[in-house]
Amino acid sequence: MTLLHRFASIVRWIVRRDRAERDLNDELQAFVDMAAADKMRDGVAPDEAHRLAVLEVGGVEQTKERVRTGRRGAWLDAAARDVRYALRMCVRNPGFSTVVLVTLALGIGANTAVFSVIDAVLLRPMTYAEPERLVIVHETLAGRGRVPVGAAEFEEWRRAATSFEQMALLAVAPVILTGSGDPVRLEAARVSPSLFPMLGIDAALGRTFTPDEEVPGRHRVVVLGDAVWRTRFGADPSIVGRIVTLNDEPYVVSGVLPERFRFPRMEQVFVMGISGNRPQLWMPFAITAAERGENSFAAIAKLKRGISMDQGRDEVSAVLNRLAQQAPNAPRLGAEIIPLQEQVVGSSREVLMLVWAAITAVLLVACANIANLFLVRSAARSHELAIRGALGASRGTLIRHSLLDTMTLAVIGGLGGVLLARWSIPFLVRLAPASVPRLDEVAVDQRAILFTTLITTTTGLVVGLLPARRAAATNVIDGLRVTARSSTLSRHDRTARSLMVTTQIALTVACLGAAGLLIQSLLNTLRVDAGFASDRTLAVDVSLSPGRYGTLDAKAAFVRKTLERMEAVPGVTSVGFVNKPPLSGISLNSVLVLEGSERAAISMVDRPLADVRSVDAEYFRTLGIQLLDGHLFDATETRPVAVISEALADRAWPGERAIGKRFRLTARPGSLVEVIGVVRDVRNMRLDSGPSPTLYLPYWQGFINAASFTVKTALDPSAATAAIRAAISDIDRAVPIGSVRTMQGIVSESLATRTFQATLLTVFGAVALALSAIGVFGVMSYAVGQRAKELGIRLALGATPRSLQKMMISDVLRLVGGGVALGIPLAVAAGVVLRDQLFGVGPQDLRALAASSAAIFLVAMIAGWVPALRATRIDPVATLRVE
Amino acid sequence: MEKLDIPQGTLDLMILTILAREPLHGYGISQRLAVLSHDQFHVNPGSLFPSLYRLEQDGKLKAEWRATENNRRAKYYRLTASGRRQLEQHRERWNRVSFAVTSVLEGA
Repeated sequence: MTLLHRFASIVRWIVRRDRAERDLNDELQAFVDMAAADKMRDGVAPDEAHRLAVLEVGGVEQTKERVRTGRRGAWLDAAARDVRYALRMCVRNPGFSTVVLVTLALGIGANTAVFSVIDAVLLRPMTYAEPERLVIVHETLAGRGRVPVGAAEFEEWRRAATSFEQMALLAVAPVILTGSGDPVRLEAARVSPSLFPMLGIDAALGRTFTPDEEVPGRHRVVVLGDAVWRTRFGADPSIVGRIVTLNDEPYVVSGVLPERFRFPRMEQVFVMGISGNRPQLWMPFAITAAERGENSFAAIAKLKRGISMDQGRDEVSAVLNRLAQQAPNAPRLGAEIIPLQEQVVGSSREVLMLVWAAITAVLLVACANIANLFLVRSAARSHELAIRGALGASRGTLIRHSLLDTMTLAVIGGLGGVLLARWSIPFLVRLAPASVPRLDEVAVDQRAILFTTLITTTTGLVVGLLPARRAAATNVIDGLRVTARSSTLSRHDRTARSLMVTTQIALTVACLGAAGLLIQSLLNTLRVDAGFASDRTLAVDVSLSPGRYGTLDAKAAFVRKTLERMEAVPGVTSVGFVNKPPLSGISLNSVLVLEGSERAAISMVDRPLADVRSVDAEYFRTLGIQLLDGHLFDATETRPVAVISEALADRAWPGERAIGKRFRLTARPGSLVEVIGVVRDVRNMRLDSGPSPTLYLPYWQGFINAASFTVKTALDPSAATAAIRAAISDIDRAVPIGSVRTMQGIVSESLATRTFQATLLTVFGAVALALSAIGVFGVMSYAVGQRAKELGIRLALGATPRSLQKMMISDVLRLVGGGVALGIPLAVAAGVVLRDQLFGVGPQDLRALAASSAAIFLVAMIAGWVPALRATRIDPVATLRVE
Repeated sequence: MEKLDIPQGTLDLMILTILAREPLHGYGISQRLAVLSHDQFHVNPGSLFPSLYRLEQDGKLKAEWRATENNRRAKYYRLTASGRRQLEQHRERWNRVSFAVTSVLEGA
C-alpha cells in the first residue's frame, strides 16, 4: 500500500509541480505568519515579530529545498535534469557527439542485426506445436555414419515402438505441374498423413490428409503450400476439389496450408547428399511394394510426454535388432535420434557464432575508443565538477551525474543502432549463404529490442565507469584552483587508457588473424582442381515427367534429339549430357560388386561405393575432363560398359590397371559391366570435400534419373541462353526447363559460405583496425599534449628533438607491441575454435598471422608516429611560458 | 539548559502521536511538541516539513487546506488508518527499545 501511495504522490508531484510549489510556499508563509502572530500577542511590535519569526524559522529557501530533496522520487527530478544537461552538452559539442553517436550506432546496430539473425536461425523454437518433442530418427551404418531411413524399418517402428505419439516418413518427390500455365518443376514432398497433425498444422483452406490416403490408389491427393497457391493458382478460393496434373497424373487438391507455415529445406532434413528445397506441394506417402526395400527417406517423430530421447533411441534400436535377426546378411543398422531443430540449424551454428564473435570484438574495440573519449572529456570537466561539489553536491550526485551523461549518449546511440539494424537486415539476409536455414524468419522483433537494450545499457555502464570513478574522486579544493583548468588525467586513468588501447589492438589481431585463416582457406579451396573446365560453359537442368517419359527409350530419345538440336545452335562448340552436373552437392550412390567377389563375405559397407553419372560421350570433351587411360564409349555402344574416375579405380582395383575389369551394379544386378576408360577425378560434392569416386555409364543404358545439358560456347555463354531454351522447347514444349546456369556461377555458389565468412570477417577486422588506429592516435596525441611542458624543459636543457622523438616512439612501441603480443595467442585460440571451417591451413599456421600482425603493427605505429613527431616541433620557450 | 537534539527516527513517532489526538497544521505541531516536551524539543521547519511531506507521501497522513480560528488559511494534517497502524508499531518498538536500554543501564 505504501508503495502505491508513494508512486501516486510522485506522479502527482510531477504533474502538478507548479501548484505543489505554490502550496509549499503558502504553507511556509503561513507558518511564519502564525509564529509572528504569537509573538505579537506576547507584545512584540509587528515588524520585529515578523523579523524574529523569520529568523526562528531559519532559511525558507533552504527548508523548501530540503522538502524537495527529502520527498520520495526526488531523484527522478535530479535525473531528468542531468539528462537535459547531457543533451545540451551534446548539442554544444557536435564533433564529439557525432563521433560517439555514430560509433555507438554502428557497433550496437551491427550487433543487433547479427543477433536477429542468430535468434531467428538458432535460438527461436520452430513454429510447430510443442517443438521440443519433435525429433528426427536416423539410421546409422558402421563406417558410414548416418544413412537415409528405409521404408520397411519405418513401418516396423510405427507398428511396434511405443515411445512416440506419431511418426511420419518423408520423401523428396519433385513434380512437374502441367495444365496451369507453363509447365514447371516444383519441389514437393511425400509425407505420412500424420505429419501435419504432428506439427500442429491445420489447413487454412480445406483439409490436410486422412489416414486412409496412405493406401496406394487413394493417394492422388495434394495439399498446396500458400506460396504456390498464390503464384500458380492466383489464390483461387475455390481451389479445393480442383484437379491438377502432376507428373501427368490427376491429383485432387484437398487443401491449402496457412501462410505462416514454414518447413525446412529438404536437404537439411535428409542425409547423405539428398537434395531438395522447401517443399511447395505435399502428397501422401503411399509406400509401394518396391519402395519397401528402399532406403532414401527421412523419418520425423513426436516423442510422448515424459519419454526421453535416449528411451526413444533405445526402442528404435531394439526394433532394428529384431529386424536384423530375420535378415542375417543385411548390414547391421543402428539408430540415432536428435531434436528436429538441432538437425535443421546445427550446421549453421559455427558460421553464425563466428560472425557474432567477430562483431562483438568490434563493439568492444569501439567501446574502448568511446571510453577513452569520455575519460578525456571528464578530465576537461573536472573544474566544473569541483564547482558542483563546492555547491553541495554529494559524491553520489556527482557519480549519478557522470553516469547519466554517458548513459544518455549510449541510449541515443542505441536507438540509432536499432534503426540501423532494421535497415540493414534485408542486406544481411541477401548476403548470407543460401545454406543458412530459416532466413525468412529474421526480423528486428521484441527479443532483438530486448537484446539491444541490454547491450546499450552494458555499453553505457562500461563506457561510463572510468569517468564516474573520476567524478567520485573529485577533489574540490584542487579542482577549483585556476591552474587546474587544463586538468590532467591521473596516473590510474592513463594506465587504464593504455590498457584499453592494448586490448583494442589484441582484439584486432585476433579478428584479422582469423580473417587471414579464412581467406587462406578460401584461396586454397579456389585452387583446388575441380577436375573440369568451367569457362564459357552452361548447365541447363530439365525435368522429364514420368508420365510421358516413363521408359528409358523415351528418355534416351529425348536426350539424343536435344543434343542434336543444341549442336546446331550458333556459337555452341560442344554439347554434352549428364544426369547431375559436378559441384551439385548431390551424390547418386550405388554399390559395386566386383567380378569374382560376389560370394565373398564382404558386407555392403565395405564394398566400393560409386557416384553414378549417366552421360554421353561428348560430355567429357565439353567439360574438359581428361582421359587418363583406355578410351571413351561411342554413341552406338550396346555392350554394358563404363568409364570410371581415378579415385574409383584406386578404390576398387588398387595397384592394378582398371581397364578390362568387370563388375555388377547392385542397382542393375543382371549384367557385368566392363571398364573401358579411366578419367580424371571431378568434384561432385564440393570443392573442399575431396574427389568423388565416379562411375560414368552411357545414358542410353540407363540411370536417367535427372537431366542436364552442358553446353560449351565460343564466346559469352549467356548470349546463347535464349537459343538453347528454344532448342529444348522445340523438341517438347511441355518439358519444364529449370535454371540455366554458367559453370562459373556454380563454382562460385559452392564457395558461397566460405566467401561470406572470409568477407565478413575481413570487413570487421578492417573496421577494428581503423578504430584501433584512432585509439592509438588519440592516446598518443593526448600524451604529447600533456607532456608538452616536460618536453619543453628537456629541450631547454639540451635534449635534441630526435631524442625526444625516440622517447615518444618507444612509448608507442610498448603500447602497440604489447597489444600484438597479447593478440597472437588470442588469434591462435580463434583459429583452434575455427578448426572445422579451415581448409588446407591449420590454426597454428603462422603465415596468415604474421601478415596480419605486421599490417596491424605498421598501421598502429604510423598512428602513433604522427603525434610523436609533434614532440619535435615543440617550442620550449612557448611551453615554458604557459603557467 | 541547552536544547536537546531530537533522536533520529523519533520525530516521526512524535508527529504521529501528536496528530493522533487531533488534526493540526505545521506550526501547531511544532508548538504542541515544545509544550509536551516541557520545552526540551524545538523542531524548526527545516526538519519538520520534510518529515511531514514524507509521511504524507507514504500515505500515513492526509493533508487539506482549512481555515484556522483566526481565519487564516493553513494546511492541516490528519492521521489516516494506515498512519494509526504505523503509530502503534512505532510506539511498540520504542517501548521495547527504551525498556531494553533502561534494563541494561540499571543492570550493569
